[in-house]
Amino acid sequence: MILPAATIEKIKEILNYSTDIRDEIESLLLCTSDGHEIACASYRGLKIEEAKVSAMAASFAGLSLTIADCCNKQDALGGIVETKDGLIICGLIKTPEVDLVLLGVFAKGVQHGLALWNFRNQLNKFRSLLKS
Amino acid sequence: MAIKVIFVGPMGAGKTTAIAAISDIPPVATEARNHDKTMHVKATTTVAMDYGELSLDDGNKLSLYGIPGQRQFSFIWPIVSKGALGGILLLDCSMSDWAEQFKFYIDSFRSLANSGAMVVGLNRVEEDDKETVSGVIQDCCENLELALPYFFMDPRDPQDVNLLLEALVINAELDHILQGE
Repeated sequence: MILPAATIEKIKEILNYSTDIRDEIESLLLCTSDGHEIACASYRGLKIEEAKVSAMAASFAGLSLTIADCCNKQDALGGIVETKDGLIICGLIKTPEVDLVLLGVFAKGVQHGLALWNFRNQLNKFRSLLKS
Repeated sequence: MAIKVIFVGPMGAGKTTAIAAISDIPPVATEARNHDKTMHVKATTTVAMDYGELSLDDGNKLSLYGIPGQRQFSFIWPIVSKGALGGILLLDCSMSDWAEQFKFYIDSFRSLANSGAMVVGLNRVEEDDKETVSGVIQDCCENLELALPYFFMDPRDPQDVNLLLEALVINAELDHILQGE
């Protein structure tokens, strides 16, 4: 197991709580940087293919880092997919023990600033949790 | 326009290393920390693709793409392989399941194998084991009704990787000529 069971339970709690109280978040998924799913939460009966999206999120995060590097931009934080139905944001969480990718799916009509602010809050929650 | 060649095969087979060995440019890689040490002990793994370039004497340029070997990334394989002239299948024959991996990757890239646009590179084969490994490959090819060139090679050695590329290009040209007849 990549993370202790207690940490994964805590991660699930955070994901479920965030998708429950924030209407603009449709789904949150946390996976390792090499594409293994850790936990996922969605609301309003939404369903994403968690294993597949985990691999895609890892690829996307990996490409984001490489594109940034090739464009002389260091330390990429993640990437954004803009769609007519809302934003998809992916961000990296690096710790000494494990590298993770958080993917957030945001509802249609949510402003970019709000989605990014919200997403960064989620990232910080996981960073704090993993640090502790 | 550059000619596209893809490097396929399981995690740890040497795809990233082979591209780095022959690329004229610093290879572009998408490496992430490997968290699944049961699959392979290496520290990092490709999560999207590798990319390198090789200029040929005739002025043409080869674009070298490597796929991520772990099966959860199979969604990206058709994206990376689109428009490829052919593929080089690399296998680490020190792995106990290398023959299964061979069949799996042939099946996954069957259209390339069927058209003669695939060459197999067999990595980490001890001298004493070469005959056995050859026998297994030949049996597998016979069962799959394929005739694929295979070479014992070291992905760190540019000469070995270039030999695979030459075989691939010659095979693809032959196929092109035969289809024209």
